Amino acid sequence: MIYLAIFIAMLPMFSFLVLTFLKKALSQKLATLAASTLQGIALLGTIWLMFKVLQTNEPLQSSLDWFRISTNIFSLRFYIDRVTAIMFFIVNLISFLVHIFSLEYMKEDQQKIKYFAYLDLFTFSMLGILLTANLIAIYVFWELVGLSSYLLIGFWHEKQKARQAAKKAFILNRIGDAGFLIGIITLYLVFATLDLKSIEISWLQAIENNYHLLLLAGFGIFCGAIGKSAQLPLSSWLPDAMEGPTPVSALIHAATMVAAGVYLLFRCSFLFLPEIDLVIASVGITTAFVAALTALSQTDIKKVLAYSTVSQLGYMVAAIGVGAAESGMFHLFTHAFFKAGLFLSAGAVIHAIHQSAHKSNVHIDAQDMRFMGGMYKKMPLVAICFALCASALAGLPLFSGFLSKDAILLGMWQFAAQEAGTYLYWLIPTLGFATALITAYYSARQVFLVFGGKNGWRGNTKIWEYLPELNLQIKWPLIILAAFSLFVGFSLNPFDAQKSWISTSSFNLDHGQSTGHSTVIILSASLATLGIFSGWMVYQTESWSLRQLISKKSFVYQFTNRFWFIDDALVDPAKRLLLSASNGLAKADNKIIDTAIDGFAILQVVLAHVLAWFDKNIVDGFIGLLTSFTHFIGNIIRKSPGKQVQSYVSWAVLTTLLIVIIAVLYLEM
Amino acid sequence: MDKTIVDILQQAGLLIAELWLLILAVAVLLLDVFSKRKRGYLTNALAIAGIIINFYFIYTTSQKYPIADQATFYFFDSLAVYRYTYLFQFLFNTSALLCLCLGMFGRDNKNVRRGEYLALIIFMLLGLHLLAKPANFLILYLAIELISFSAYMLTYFNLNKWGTEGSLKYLLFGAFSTACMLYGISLLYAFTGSIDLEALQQIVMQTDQVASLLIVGLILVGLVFKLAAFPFQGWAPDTYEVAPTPFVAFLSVAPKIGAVFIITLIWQQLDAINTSSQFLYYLLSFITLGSILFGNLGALWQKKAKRLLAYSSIAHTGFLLLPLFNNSTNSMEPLLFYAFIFMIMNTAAFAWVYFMEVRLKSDKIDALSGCGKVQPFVSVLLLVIMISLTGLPITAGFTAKLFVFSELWQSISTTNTLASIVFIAGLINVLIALYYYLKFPYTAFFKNPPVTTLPFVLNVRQASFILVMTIPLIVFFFKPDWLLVLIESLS
Amino acid sequence: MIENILSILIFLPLAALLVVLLLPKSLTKIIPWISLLVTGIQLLLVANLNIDLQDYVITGINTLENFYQVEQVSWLSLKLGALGQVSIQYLVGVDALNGSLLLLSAIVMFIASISAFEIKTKRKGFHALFLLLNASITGCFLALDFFLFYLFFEFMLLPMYFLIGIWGGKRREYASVKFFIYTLAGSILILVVMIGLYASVIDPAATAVSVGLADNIQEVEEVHIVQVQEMLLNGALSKENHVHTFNMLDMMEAKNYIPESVFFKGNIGSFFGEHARLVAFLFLIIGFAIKLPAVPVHTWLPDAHVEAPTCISVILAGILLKIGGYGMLRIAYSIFPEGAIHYAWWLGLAGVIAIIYAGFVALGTHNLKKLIAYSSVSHMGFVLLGIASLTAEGINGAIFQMFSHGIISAMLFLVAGVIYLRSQDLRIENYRGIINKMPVYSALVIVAFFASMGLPGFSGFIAELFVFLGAFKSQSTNQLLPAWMAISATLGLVLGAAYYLWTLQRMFFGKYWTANKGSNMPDLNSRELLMLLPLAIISLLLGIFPNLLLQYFEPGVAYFVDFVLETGRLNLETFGQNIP
Repeated sequence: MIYLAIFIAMLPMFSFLVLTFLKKALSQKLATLAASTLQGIALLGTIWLMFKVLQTNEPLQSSLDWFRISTNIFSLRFYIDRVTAIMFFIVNLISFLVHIFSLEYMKEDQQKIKYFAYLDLFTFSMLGILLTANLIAIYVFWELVGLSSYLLIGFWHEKQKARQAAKKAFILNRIGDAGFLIGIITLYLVFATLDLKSIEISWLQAIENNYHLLLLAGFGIFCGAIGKSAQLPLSSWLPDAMEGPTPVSALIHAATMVAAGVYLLFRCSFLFLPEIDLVIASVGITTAFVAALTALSQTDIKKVLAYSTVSQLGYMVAAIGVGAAESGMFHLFTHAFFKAGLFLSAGAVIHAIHQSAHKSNVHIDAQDMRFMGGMYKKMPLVAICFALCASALAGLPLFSGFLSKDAILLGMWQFAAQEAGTYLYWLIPTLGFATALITAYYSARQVFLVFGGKNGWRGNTKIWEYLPELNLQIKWPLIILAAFSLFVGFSLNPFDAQKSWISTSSFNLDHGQSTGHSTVIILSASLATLGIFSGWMVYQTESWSLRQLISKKSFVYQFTNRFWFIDDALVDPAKRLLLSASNGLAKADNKIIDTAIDGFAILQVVLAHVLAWFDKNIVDGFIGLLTSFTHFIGNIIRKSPGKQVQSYVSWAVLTTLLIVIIAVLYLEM
Repeated sequence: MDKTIVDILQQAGLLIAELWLLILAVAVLLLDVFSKRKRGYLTNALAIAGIIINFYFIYTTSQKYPIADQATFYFFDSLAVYRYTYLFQFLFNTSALLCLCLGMFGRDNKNVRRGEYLALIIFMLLGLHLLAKPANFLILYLAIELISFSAYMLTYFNLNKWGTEGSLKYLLFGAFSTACMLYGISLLYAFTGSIDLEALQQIVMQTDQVASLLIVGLILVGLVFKLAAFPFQGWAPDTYEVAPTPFVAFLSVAPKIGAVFIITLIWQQLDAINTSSQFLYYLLSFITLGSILFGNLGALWQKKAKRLLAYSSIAHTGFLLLPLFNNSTNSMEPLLFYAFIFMIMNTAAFAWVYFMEVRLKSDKIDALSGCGKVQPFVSVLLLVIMISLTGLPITAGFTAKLFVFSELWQSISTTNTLASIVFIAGLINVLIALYYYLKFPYTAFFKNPPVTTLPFVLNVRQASFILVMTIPLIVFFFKPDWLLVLIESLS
Repeated sequence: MIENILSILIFLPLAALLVVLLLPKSLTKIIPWISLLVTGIQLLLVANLNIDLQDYVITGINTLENFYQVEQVSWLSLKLGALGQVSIQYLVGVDALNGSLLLLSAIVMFIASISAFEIKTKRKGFHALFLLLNASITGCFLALDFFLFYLFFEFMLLPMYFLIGIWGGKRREYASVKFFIYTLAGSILILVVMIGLYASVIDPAATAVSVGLADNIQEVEEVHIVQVQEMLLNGALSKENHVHTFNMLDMMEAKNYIPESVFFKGNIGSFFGEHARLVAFLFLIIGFAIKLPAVPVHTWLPDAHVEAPTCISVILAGILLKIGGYGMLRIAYSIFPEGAIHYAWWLGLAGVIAIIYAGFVALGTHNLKKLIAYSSVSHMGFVLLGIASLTAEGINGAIFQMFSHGIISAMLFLVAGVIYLRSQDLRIENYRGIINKMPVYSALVIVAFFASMGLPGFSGFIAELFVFLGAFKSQSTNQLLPAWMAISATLGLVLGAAYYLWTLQRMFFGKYWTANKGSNMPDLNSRELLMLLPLAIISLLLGIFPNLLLQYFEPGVAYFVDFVLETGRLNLETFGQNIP
């Protein structure tokens, strides 16, 4: 069984390799189709796998040694329980749908094959994260996810914005990952292993004497999640990531990248100490609230969805923080479907408008909602799907979103309730509910702006005429996703998931007969309705108007609209600082080079000059005292013909020599 | 018959090599007088032959008057045979021989007075031979003067007014330094009533520090001057620059080594009793470090090869003296090894310069540019010579430095950091040395000649001479023991 | 297994060198093939060596028996003045420390010799020097006799000097001289220690012979050696009988030190306030740090790289830098282990500074080759950090990093060379959107960049992970490095991503544009592909299956760490130094 899972995970990798290395050989159509079919096969396999796992409540696992240092063996452990299985299914399904959708959406693109290759790499690395239960292995795939997202976001690299978005995404993630790595290392330090299971086993007795290290570890891992799941303050890459092709956004936002962070937190939730939990909760809820506010005033159809994703992720993270990890995970499931649905629908809309704009060569921003309106008439099916998913997002009863969000809110409620004494904890559920309201409002706003109301385009009928009929490849992914955003997919009881098929001993959504559950249900339901109603009033009937309430110029508007100036106040300055610092250092380093070498040289020059001076003045000075004398002698030498000297010398020597020789001879006889 | 005369005549055999040189000198002079138009080939050949024969006389003397660990005295203790006497004579002789061979390559005005030139060189060699066996300061002084005066005259042998000035400078310097030395000797006599080398021991033991140090110092002045070591190195560059190059190759090696030998003699006298040695070590480190630094830094920015080599030879003097730091033993292998290698590489370097002069009438280093492209092989030889002078593998220059520094290391102890400072400073200087020695190969290989001029080339004879000089530099790196065996056999 | 395989490795290039020199002008075009052949053979031999190694746990380090393969010939034996006898051996061997690096150098050399086909001018000289360099590098990795090591170490300078100085770029003279001076400065510090060492260490076996305990070296037994060492300690040996040695393994044995010698550990008194042995360690470390290079003595590297021709940059970054790290392990750490403990903190600090500082500078440079050079400095910082941590993880990481950086940096410089070959210009801002013009090339560039920034799946990641593990673990196991070092080193990861991605964004993505219009940019030709692909594959392979390489040195390193820590602590106690 587990090998089936591994095989499934390898399938996308395989098609990635094929697409990359046989690019020349394959025709574009064939290649893309092949990739999609492979993905389809993977999906079928996954479904079978999932049912097997859900029936036999046994987690599948196997492990093999990777490498060893001295005594510590790094093993690679594969582990699949219900949650993983479901995630597996979700990832494969959505990836498959995205493949199908892309067949149509990317038809014109010349780099199609590369695109599909990247999609497969992306899917593969996400599956890798799910499959492995060893932090190092997880980190490996974690980084691979970063890489493939980098490649996909920057896919249209001619666009300056796309390039920057890709870079931003990777670097912000990298910052998170650095924290993650520190976390991992700390765990290794404490447990001498990185296998989650064995860590969990020896967790309790470790706590006493390495409390601080474990704090660090927990925080580090959370850093990783912050990066991937776009929590504050590292969240600003996600909206920018909209620069990538829309199906990719669907993949990133629904199933793969951002989900990874939450999934990691869920897997590691056992090793978060109370302090860390509190941090997680507050970061999560803040993100949720802030992002929701920001979504309110976005005009770009995809930006709204992006910020809503950030906000929903905030929910999930917060849920894990407040100890309702399962609920968070549950929300991840539901969210995956309706958010993918939303994105693909949005993609459909954009696609259509693009084409018509192309045909009618009118130049407009195909993503600006202010121009749209009345699209319902033109593409009813898309409208319906979008509406369904949106209601799920808004958390209307009878929709999947309601179930999961309700579970989370309940979790927050209980969390606050436990912490009697201080009322500060009530802030979390409060913000939670507030966010629910806002969410409902902006999803309604979006639906009505795009599909409702009178015809869009400020009466520019041309586009209107040319809006094309969408083909099946685009349609039925939407239908499937929309279907999954209804409650029945998850639980038969539309108001409570605790008896649903997902909830079991291992994955427990059961909150018992807790107080306040009814309260929570009523609150969230009514808030959702209220939000949608006001959305209707403002954007459909336009009987209410916000004009006088708040102007676009006002600080509050700007503040929320620009995501609380995270970029302007945090990311950009940091970037600028980094660059200027590095430039300065680079210059300094060049300086160092010169000073280092030339300093050596200069020293020598100076000394050499000193010596030269010494030579000239002292030595020659000594001579200089006797200049006249020198001249005198010099003349003598110059005049003297060497002749006499020679003969004279030789004569003198000869005589002496003779004497000696005679003496020697005399001695011998 | 007078007893003394008999003794003298009996011991005359000790001086047979010297006598031979005397005869040789005269013979050369006469040959030159009587054979004019031969342009000095014969004379040159005669001189060379004579010096080769002289090796044999050195050998016979060494057989007749064998060396012992302790010096043995002759001629009423005026001459002595020290352990290394013959070895040094051998060295001087070789150096002179090389000098004369190098002279054969000359094609310029030195032929005009070839005879005197050769004779003077031989006289100088004679002086050096005496320098190898002095038992008292009188002989020592005579030897030094004999060397000096022939040197003064030889310096002038380019027969131009630079020559005049150079030799005059040299003369004045020499006069000054020998005067100091003489004064020192007379003081020594005044204090002890003896002029033997041993007298130094007495003086250091009996009289007060100041007097003894004054005497030692004054005597050292003369020697240090011959060494062209700091602080009396000033004359060297000027003199070398103007003097005929083959002679410089001789001048920059033989007298230096001779002086080192004498200094070691004096050193042993002083080491016999350890008083005041601390001061002497300071003096020594002052001299060695001074000359290493001055030599290297002076050489750094020289444009002319000859001046550069002059300064470099000053630096090498410093390295030559390093082993003296080690007072624990009187073994001199490292010093001798260095001396041998120094002789070879220095001669080779000057030979190269001489060939440049012969061909280009200039010794500007820039004149080498492009040489590496035209004559890669010969330029590699140049590279080897320079690397050896710097003291890098794979040349004997490295081995020599290694030995010298190892010897110095012996005197390093954790208590006395003086030696260790000298040690490190000395090694750091290798770095500076690299900087200027590298100029030669650098210009040869990297620089392109100005289009107007052809790059400098050596003819086959010259190249082969360089080759012959270079081979030992490589061989003795891989087989230093061979040279050590030679040294062993001669001492 | 082939006999004398090690000597063949060293002398084969020299033999080929002769052939090249004697080759007539008409045949110059086959010269590149000769060096290709030579490096190819070397690669085969080394590979064969490593295959033999598979089922064989080598430790080596300080016991000749545990070396995988050893060749020992007495080279010189001198009687030297005050010193007494000196023996210099031709002693080469393979063990845990140098096995992998030997493989690395064989691989990189082979690739470089392919790259050397680009050299069109003065082929003869170039390849002669190339082969010379090859021989000396191989020798340097194999030598176990300090004299031999130093000989090869020094002799690498000359060929390098000329290779950069003659075939280099615009400012080649400056760069080459600078390279020479810097490295020589380092090697002089090493020379100081070398002299001191052989003056204070004796070869017990040879001494046993000279004392007369045995007739010849073969008959010397363990008892004799012990006896000699006792006699030495009691001063029963006369100076004349000492046989001084350059043998590193003898230098690692404390019993072989002459009691009154400076490096004798029981020796009291100090140089400049430290025990002589600690000073010596410092000298060695500085000497090798220049080669590594570590901040602040790194400044020769960027110049050398920018000016050097491609295949020389490849060798420089791929192999030469590693000798620095290798020397630290083989000599500084093994012979003066106490220094490893005493100065660990500073070494670690130097490593961290190098990682971060060089990363910053790389981000600020505008020349592609310079950027890569600085990234090398940053990566070698990891080596330093790993070594300093003195944990199994750390040192495994260091060696692994040396290998992987060797492969990856070779790839990077080849990549830079490709552009340089097409348009003699490496300024980053002079290009845009190269990917449109050269897709295959850009793909490989992306691979190389991500490999170099330590992306999981590539060898660099494993190496850096180990280093982090080690550096972090050190605090709890041997208390040498504080945890903040490891933590702040992670900043290097972010920086790495920053400068590589920025370069990608500026040079490779976007619409195609280049400042120098004249140059057309054809995509990779088969030869360039042939150079780049294997490297990429190796890096990937080691990233996924680190055990392929790790298994060779991992046990040895474990032994090494224990050895260093044990003896180091022991010696520090004898100095009365406080032990962390």
